[in-house]
Amino acid sequence: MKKISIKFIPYEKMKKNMELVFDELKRGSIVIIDSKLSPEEESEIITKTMENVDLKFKGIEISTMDVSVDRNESSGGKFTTLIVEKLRRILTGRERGITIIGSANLVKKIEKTPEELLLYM
Amino acid sequence: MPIKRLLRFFNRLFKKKKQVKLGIYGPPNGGKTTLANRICLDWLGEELGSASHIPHETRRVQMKERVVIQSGDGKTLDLTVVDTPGIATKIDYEDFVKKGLSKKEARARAREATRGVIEAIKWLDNVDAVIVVLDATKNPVDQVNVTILGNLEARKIPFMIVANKIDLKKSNVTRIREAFPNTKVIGISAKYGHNMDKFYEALFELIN
Ligand SMILES: Nc1nc2c(ncn2[C@@H]2O[C@H](COP(=O)(O)OP(=O)(O)OP(=O)(O)O)[C@@H](O)[C@H]2O)c(=O)[nH]1
Ligand SMILES: [Mg+2]
Repeated sequence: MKKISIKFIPYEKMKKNMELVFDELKRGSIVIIDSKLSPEEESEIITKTMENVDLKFKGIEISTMDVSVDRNESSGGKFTTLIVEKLRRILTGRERGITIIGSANLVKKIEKTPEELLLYM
Repeated sequence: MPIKRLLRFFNRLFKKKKQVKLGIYGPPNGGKTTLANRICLDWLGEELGSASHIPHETRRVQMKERVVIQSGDGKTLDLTVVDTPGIATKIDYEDFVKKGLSKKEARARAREATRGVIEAIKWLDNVDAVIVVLDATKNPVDQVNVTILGNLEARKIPFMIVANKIDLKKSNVTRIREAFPNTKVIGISAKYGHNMDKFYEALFELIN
């Protein structure tokens, strides 16, 4: 039987030490972060990935997914939701959603639809 | 004659239009160098770098200065064309072995390619405008593309997308337009020079 570990790394922990992500990836885990990443964070992840690439570790597959806002959350509709979302972003400094990262050795491709992420291994 | 020199100096001081650093970005093998060569050949008469069917051919940022392009109505742009290494999230030296390189060559290429990716990302801080070159035969919904476009937006760098290789039957410009509906997309063939007039027109719009 093949076993795959899915490791959850909270966003704050990842921010403090990105190398944690690579420790887990090199161990063969798939990493899930409880936030979308900003473009700058994404490019930082790519830079760190390239610093980590060697004969064994070939890089990453990465994808983000929105956790869609519940439509019944407020009957006021989109506008209030947007404001709440914006406030939350200003207060927490991060985007709603999740990021999933797998090592390229393990995950060949991640395909994304609005509802699901497909990991090809 | 010193007077002449002095005049030239003042001319340069007051009339010289700012040079625009035009970055050419995208995933590996999309045709960045082929497009950079096309632009430099069209307006300077010389090429910029070497293109190859093996990805990560460009592994250092390379550029040509004083590429002066002219619009139909006489406007000019003084460009520094900056060709960058393809940005990727993974690099496997065995892919290069499959393309016919020796193990040693492949490993060296992979090592250089990782540094190239880092250099390309760093150079985002130095460019004034960017052309993102995508291979129109490939699925554009890819994290690397999203990351590049997101960074350009966040840094407020003007950019447009070139959907390259429209000479190939499998190419699909509409798919790229639909994936990035808020960005200008121009379909071209950098290799055969198709639609370059539209490309230059869009470039003037982008920068002026
Ligand atoms: N059919 C076709 N092939 C093209 C076109 N443009 C580039 N190519 C080919 O695509 C391959 C890659 O081209 P390059 O210009 O080296 O691509 P690049 O984006 O600079 O690649 P890296 O430097 O590896 O990131 C080469 O084999 C080119 O001949 C095009 O418009 N049509
Ligand atoms: Mg190139």
